[in-house]
Amino acid sequence: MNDLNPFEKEIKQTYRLPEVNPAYFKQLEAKLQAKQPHPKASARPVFHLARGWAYAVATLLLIGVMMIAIGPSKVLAQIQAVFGFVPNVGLVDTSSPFRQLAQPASDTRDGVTLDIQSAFLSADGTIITYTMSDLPTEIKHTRFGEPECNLPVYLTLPDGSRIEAAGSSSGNMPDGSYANSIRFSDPVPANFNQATLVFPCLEGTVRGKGPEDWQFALTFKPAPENLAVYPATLIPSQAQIENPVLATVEPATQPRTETGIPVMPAMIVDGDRQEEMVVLSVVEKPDSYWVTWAYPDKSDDGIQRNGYLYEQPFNPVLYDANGRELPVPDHETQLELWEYEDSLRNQLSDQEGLLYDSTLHTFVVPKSGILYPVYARQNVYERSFPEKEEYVDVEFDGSKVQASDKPVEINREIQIGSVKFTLNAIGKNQFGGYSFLFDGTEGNVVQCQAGLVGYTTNMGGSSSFNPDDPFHFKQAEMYSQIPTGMLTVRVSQPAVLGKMISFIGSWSPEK
Amino acid sequence: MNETKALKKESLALMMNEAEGTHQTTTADFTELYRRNATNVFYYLYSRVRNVADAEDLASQTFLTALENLPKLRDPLKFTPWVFTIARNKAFDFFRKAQRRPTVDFDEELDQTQATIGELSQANQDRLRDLERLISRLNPLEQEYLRLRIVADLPFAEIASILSEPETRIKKKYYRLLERLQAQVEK
Repeated sequence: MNDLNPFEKEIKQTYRLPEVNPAYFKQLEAKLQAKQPHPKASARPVFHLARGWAYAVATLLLIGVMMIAIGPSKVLAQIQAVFGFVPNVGLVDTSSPFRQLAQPASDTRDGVTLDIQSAFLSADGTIITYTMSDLPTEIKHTRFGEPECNLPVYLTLPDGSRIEAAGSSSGNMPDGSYANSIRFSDPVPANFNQATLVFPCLEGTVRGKGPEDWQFALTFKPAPENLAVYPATLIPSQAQIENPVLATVEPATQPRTETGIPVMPAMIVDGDRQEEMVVLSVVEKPDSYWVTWAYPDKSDDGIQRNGYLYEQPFNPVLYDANGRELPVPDHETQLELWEYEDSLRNQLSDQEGLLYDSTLHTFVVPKSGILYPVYARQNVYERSFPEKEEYVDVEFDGSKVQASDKPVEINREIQIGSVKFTLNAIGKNQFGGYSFLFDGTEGNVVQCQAGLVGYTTNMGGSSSFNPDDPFHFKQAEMYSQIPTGMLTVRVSQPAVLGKMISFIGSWSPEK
Repeated sequence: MNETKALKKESLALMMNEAEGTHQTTTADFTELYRRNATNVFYYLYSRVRNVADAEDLASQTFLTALENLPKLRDPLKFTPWVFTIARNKAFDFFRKAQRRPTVDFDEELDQTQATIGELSQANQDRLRDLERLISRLNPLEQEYLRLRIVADLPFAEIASILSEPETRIKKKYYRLLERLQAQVEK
């Protein structure tokens, strides 16, 4: 499950999702099974058992491979990098020894059992994993209008201080059980090996019903020395680190232009202009490096809708020094990379987060079989809003549009300051409103704002950027009561497509 | 963390089918995939139609269509984005056939909100109402980002697959959208 931050949880609340009806899902499952052709009896006689064992074997093999690959030089006590990547935990500060739960804790109240299964403590935070038994119906939040428990879990320390949870996630564990993870951003100081985990109430229960102020005394101990930790480096400008030991970014021997932008092999340079993409972090895995690049994002806050200054219709690409495009990672690795990127985001400062949150991308760089340095390229189009205040009003017959199955041709030239484009037609849209069809070929316009004067829309939309035909675009407005008769559409804030920029960066491991 | 593990499990199971000589998602797997996706498909559809009976009906249609078309699914690892694409089409059909709008009438929605959050503090009630208003005014694609990420609980890669957009672009838009909404609601 996605690890929702508090604001995303608030958004989720607005959907007022109902309790699911288990009977419905069971009935549908039975219906689906009845419609399925019966598999041959001998095809997979012990499928579930065999697969269960296979998981266990696969997990053990994976652990074994990791231990062999990492070797004793990379065990916890010898890690020198300030950051490390711990599988299933993420990017963590390694400046102090990791700790874990000394022993699981369990308790039952009001028919609910909580098992505190594990904890991982590092210098920059704590993750606690627990399972909870099914909630009895009488305390479960099932109806709209009932207040639901939404108080965050917290830790109290021996000195009385308190650390509140910063986020949580839940989902299936490898053994099939369902577990919850709580993330605390503030660390438990190294001098405290005890803490009390407090559940003010239980998520999913009605406020005032079920266990409240439920406390678990936890004791921590050092994590095992053979814990798999992959060294990670965050570049100094992005993090407060000392002595990065793993890799250098942009080594001095690398060819560079006067602007500092790495020189790429000619065959992979295709933007009208090049700008630099920075390396945010590097993780060293046994056979590869995970290198995360990003470019600074920009947007214009004065634009009512979609003020982004870069249009990014292309995927990032990685090349080696021969100009050979390197393959994208497989599905499994990609999932790990996203997990890693989420933990990297947690390490970025607020300012860095604003710049890089949405542009960072991690590539897998093989340790062998390629020629270094590698080059990452992200092509984007520039957008600009040269006329933010001016507008043009166009009158049209709304009744005629709503009565027509096809868009009604308008063919009205729009000139807003220096920007020229055309309102080709207006049609009714399926959601209850009007769609305005534009041709921005003359002025390289790819987007604008269009709304009916005197009416409040309850929803708006626009066509996605189409790199094959970027200048034909659509803007739609929907209304609770569709306005008809003679109407005025106000057209403003045209976005003008600029040149293609290639953000590029290069990297090679330390010799 | 756990999302990854769950997906890994699904991937492993399906890869093992391949190792056993089964090159497509089998009907035996279908039940497991149904169980894994049913709740999120239902919630996604509920967030579209805002009515339990309609959402259940559309979820049934979605999985029946998926089952019927299972042999056409070339890459079993893409079951989740595939089934959500079917669910989205069912929702579009629902609105198209009935000439319904995807959002309830704004005044009605406010009344419903009042009932739901009546026990919260006045400040929290106001904030949630503001947030609902802001979300209802987003363009359809932005609303879809929120539904797929927050309600349907999908990772960005699968949202990218469903919406046929580069994943990095989806992430970028999503985080900017959150940032903008948060700034607006805290004004």
